[in-house]
Amino acid sequence: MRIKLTIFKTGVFMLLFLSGITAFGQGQKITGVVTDENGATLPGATIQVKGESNGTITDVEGGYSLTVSSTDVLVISFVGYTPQEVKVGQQSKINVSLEPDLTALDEVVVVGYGTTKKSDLISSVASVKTEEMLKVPSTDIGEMLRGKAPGLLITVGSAEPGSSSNIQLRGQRSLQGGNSPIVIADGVIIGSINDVNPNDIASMEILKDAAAQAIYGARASNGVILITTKRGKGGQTKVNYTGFYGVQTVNRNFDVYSGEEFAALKREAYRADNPGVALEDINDALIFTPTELEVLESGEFINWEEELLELASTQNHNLSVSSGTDKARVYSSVNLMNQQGVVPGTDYTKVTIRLNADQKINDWLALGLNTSWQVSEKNNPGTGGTLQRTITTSPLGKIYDENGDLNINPTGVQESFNPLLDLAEVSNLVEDRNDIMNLFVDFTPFKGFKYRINASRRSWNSKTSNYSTASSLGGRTNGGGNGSIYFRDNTNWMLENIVSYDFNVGGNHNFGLTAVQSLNENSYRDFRNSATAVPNDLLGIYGLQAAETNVPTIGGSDWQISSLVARLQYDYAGKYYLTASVRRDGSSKFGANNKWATFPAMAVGWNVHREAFMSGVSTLSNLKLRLSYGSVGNEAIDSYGSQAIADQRDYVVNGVKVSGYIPGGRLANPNLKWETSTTLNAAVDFGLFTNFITGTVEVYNTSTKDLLVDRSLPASIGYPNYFDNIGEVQNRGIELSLNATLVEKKDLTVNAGVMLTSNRNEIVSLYGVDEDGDGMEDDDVQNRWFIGRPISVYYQYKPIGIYQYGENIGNTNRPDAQPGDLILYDRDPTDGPLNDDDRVITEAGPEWYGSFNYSMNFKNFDFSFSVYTVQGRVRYNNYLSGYSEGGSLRGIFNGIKQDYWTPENQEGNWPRPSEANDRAFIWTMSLQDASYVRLQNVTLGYTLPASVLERINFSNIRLYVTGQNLFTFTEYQSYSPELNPNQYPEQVTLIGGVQIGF
Amino acid sequence: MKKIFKYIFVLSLFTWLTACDDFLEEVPVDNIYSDYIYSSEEGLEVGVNALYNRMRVYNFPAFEGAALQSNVFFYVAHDLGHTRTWHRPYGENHTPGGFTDTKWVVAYNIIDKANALITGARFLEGDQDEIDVQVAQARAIRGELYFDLIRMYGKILLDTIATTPENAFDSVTYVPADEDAVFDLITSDFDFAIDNLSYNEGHGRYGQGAARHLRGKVAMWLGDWAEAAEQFDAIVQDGTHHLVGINSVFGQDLTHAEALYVYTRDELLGSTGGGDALAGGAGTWIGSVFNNRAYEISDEIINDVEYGGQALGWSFPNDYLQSLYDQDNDLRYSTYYYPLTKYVNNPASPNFGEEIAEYPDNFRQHHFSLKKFHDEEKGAFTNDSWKDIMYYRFAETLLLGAEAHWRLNGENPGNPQALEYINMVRRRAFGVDDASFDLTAFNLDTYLEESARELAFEKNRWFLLKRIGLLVERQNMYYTYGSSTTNQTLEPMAPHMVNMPIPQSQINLMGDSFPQNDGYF
Repeated sequence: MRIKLTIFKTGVFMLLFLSGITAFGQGQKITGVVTDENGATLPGATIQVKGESNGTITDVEGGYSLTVSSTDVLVISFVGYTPQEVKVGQQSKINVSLEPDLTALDEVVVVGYGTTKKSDLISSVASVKTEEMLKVPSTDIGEMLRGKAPGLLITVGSAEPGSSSNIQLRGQRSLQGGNSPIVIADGVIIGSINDVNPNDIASMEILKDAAAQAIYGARASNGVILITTKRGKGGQTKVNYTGFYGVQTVNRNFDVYSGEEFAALKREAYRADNPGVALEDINDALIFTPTELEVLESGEFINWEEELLELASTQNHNLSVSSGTDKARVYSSVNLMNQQGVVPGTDYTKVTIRLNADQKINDWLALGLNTSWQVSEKNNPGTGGTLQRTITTSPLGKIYDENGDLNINPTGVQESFNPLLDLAEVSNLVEDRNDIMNLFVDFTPFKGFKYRINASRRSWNSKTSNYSTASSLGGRTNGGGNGSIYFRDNTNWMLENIVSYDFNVGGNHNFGLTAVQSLNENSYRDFRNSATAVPNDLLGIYGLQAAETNVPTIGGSDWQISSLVARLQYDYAGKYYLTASVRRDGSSKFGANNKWATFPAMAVGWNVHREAFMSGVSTLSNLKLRLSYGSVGNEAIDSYGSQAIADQRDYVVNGVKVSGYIPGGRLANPNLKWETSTTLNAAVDFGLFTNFITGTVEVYNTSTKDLLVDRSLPASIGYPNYFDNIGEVQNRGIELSLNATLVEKKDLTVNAGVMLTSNRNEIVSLYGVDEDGDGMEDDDVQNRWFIGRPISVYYQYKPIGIYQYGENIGNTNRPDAQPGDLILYDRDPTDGPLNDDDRVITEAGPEWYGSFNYSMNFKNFDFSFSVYTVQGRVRYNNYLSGYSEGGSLRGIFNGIKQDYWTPENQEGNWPRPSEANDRAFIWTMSLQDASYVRLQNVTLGYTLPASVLERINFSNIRLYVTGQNLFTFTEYQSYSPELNPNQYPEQVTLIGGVQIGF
Repeated sequence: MKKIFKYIFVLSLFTWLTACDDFLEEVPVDNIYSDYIYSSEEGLEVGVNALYNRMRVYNFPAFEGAALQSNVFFYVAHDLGHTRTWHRPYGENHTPGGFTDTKWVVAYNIIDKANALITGARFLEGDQDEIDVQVAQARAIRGELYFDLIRMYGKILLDTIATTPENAFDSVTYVPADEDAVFDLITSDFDFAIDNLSYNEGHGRYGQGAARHLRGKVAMWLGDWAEAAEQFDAIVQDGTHHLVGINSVFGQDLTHAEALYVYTRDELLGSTGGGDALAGGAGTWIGSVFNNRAYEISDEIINDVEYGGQALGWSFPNDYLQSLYDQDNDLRYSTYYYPLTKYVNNPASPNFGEEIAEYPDNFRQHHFSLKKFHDEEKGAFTNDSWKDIMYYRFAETLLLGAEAHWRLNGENPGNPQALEYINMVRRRAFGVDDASFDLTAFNLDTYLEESARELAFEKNRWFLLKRIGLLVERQNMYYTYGSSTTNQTLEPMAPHMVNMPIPQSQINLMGDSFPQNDGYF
């Protein structure tokens, strides 16, 4: 409702604005020409009377004319240039030369191995503004990107403190390989998007089409995220502090059975299995434990969620200093993030320190250094079991025994363990250290030519200490404390030679050449020691050596990539563009016969609005057409996947360990090679009414071939699987982004934006065989892969109701079913009992997703909100049917409340409970619509007036409050439509923050 | 300016040259290449050791799940079994898609590795006798697996060629193997094993006793009574294996003379987290499946190893089996099963040591339960057991030997050898040295009853009845399902279920050329 209202208001604003534009003011007529720093004319520049809607844009020759009054001030602006203000006075001709805006990095777009002006950009690149990202109070940059760029689908991976989101660009390409984009910070591939402090980000670009990605070749198939960090600037010292503090809680979209309801469920389950026993004749002593009966009597039911979940704090502090001279510039920052968990005992703390330095030695030689040092600590004793028990342990229990200790089985039911137990008795600490050291040397011997040697080493070290005391559930089972310690060291070396040469021929022919050679090596070594039956808990993790058994595991792997890149960029007078590139990659992961692959790409663009014939079309201030085609790769397998490797499988003979090795589960494949994605991308960028409305519509068609698949083999082969390249997957989609400046006045600006993405994923081909001879290629039913369907589908029987008394059940596909059982869809009612053909494909989606963003600045206040939606999404919620999850209505575990069928409640839409066994096919009930609409972010800020700031010598002080993930409207029964109920609950966050600069 | 170019040239030459092909060569860091196993005598030995590890996964996997279910089925789904929950033999999921494919998949996986070891050994140089001993074990394992497969499924594939990347994708039309060809391979494998294995190959490996026992079973399946009798007699005559005291049969230490083959497991050399891969394996739940949860009856009974500790109570020995025992005199009744009379064992209870007053009619908490997997060292709060598991034992040799002689003698009820063998088992069972409990006539009923009393829930009943052709009839008479006496019912199997469904997943992978067993669709 609120959304509709806003749309309505927006419409009113637009109407007002449109009517305003036609009301020209009275006064003098002025003309002039707008040029760039080199004197070249700038078509499409905006000339606006300050504080009014009156304005125009320059024609193809850079000229303009406008009727103004002498007291007006003109604001002349152009994308990528610093706006200029000019008082009109008595002038009738005002020529303006604009200087490039070096600070507004968002208008210069970073592309692979270089930068370009936004107007020159012809491949598909989405830029995300840092300030928009920082509105999101999260420790995860992935979450900050949600709804910020079309084509980018962010889903929660896990919501525990310190976790990272799943990032998927333009659909699922790979059947089994990873689908995460690579992240490159300052030219260096980093492990995770969260290796960077979000406050250090100067710009973030998402490379979406093959033309943009191809320069990263073999690993770019799932997209590339380019991060450029901030650098010091000559001549000015700036100090900035930003910080926030807030609280987090959760939204729950389900109920569990109350004490009485659970008792009723238990009785019903018993009755269903003991025909002839009337409800009132049930002997409660038979089905309830003494504790359950006692609590049922007293009515002192437990609300487990209240016992477990709590309000938790989150805070973030960032201090940065940027300074420099002509010769040396430095940017440094320190960031502290701390997030306490809504589940007690979980928290995350991360400190990141960055130092970026630039040193100019002389005219042709410069050095640069980017370093980042990050340490983090995460406490998480493992909450999956605890959260599950919070739902499945019934309210009919006692948390503590008479001594005040936690009851192990609070309800007396042996399957139900106290949810609070392991929180107190299990500790799991993950300590990470992540260093990036990147050194580059730039040679610029003559104009337009640059040679950079770029060397980097990234080192990631992780240590996990896990300990469960003898009193924990695990300790109880294993007869003593148990734990493990795990160390892992990753290193990643990269060495690159980058040569670029930009030159101009005959004034209008601009050329850019780039060549790159790159070597990359990744390796890790890890060690784990698992101990069981530690005799006492005195030393905790440091007592492991005393354990009855210690099992060490040592592992490691290396892989290398070697690459060559060449690129040509050409444009004619800023109107016609052509880019062509080729990358050749070799990877150690692939079969001896297929180590190398080549990835070409090409793009063309046309700045239509700069054509002379467009000068008359004043409403259209920008129009660019872009087309690109190219291919990129994915090496989505682990090292040694192509080789014949043996697994260690020892045995005990005569009580002594004997060594055993057996070939691994995979057959070798010396022909294994890259997955290749080829994308055709077409786009229109447009600006209307002097760019008051700007937008981009983009369509693409990506075909991914030679998919890396861990292929099942008939058992008689002896190897269940092998890696192979098969088939083809297609992703087609349309992306729309639209931004409108609804009001732009002295004291009030209003902006609104919409982003929509729809991607259609489809398996085009698999193994290319037609064994069943029906003239169509065969599906892979075992893996749930169907030709013509998306990769992610569910294929199962479909519940369509509940059998009722008096129905002729014997004639259906479940002749043995009872009233209260599920009716399953029958494709062919004449073909007898339920069979495989009765199964139904359900696509997991999403069909489309999008966001609506609104921001308003009024005087010194700023206000914004964003709404995010995902539609056409279906998920499998095991809490709707699983036994251990309480979904199968056995009366043993509590669960998510449903309207189940009983002889007295024949309207019930869930099957009848049953004590002895899960009611057959109840698992078919688990598919649930997980579409949602969410009020994602609401921010209200206040910036101190300039007059106050000047007095106290500050450049900026802003105070703000933000609410994140406030409301979600969904049918999905969980804490989040993207997570199941035992996964760490996604937080609702409310924070207050301050930004200070001087 | 020239100088600059020189620097650049030198620098770039240095770095650009490092890109040569060696850079992309892949050498595993923490694994060995499979070749090692097939190219040396040491490799052969570690390969065979690993086969035993995989066999343990095949028969006694860690934890619950499909792998355990595939085994529990054969323990319980016959005339002596009752099921309360978890799995439901012959229920709605007894279909090609619903029943687990674990047995089929794991068996063929091990067979292929055995094939590779057997083939590779032909080209090995070294101590030929030692090589033959290793090959004999690989062949015994292969023979046993094929024997298992053909008895379970009826229609199976036969493949003795090891898979390599070169031959893996040779065009194959998957059709059921000729039964005679399968049995030719099985018998030749066991004959080779008998020729090359001694009776003492070590606890945890097949010896000649296990090989002859299996060879005898194969002969029984084929109706070759003479061959079967010869094999069983040989084991008896050798003397390495003999009956032991009734309390030792399933005692804590299974390194005794009655054991023909025992699966080993060792908590100190294994780990729950490490799973089946480690030498000692991970805890198995199979014992807990067949025991009730007495500690749930009331606060007066706590988890105690004496009653088996933590348990699952999913399946049980049924009323019919219970009725077969002379409960007063047959020591097996009190040795192979937990007592039905239980005593208050909670020290905090005022009634400590007294008999439980009331037993609930709830099979989960109270039911005739199997003690053959009893593990004195099992944790009271876990289903995991790390005890060795008896798999083939001499008492079965005697009973099968009795049947073989009886049949060889035209089913003569007075066949002295048959009576001698069966009465050896009975005398041990009744703890007597004289003929007071001896059978005097041997017929099918007395044989099946005695076999039930001695060997129930040792995973041979289903196969025995199937061989004799009485599986369906007897299962229909006695097999029950239910959670209490009020809802306990017979759950008859359909006649076609004497053959397990060929896993649908495998039929799909084989390209639908392989036919499903009759009655399944």
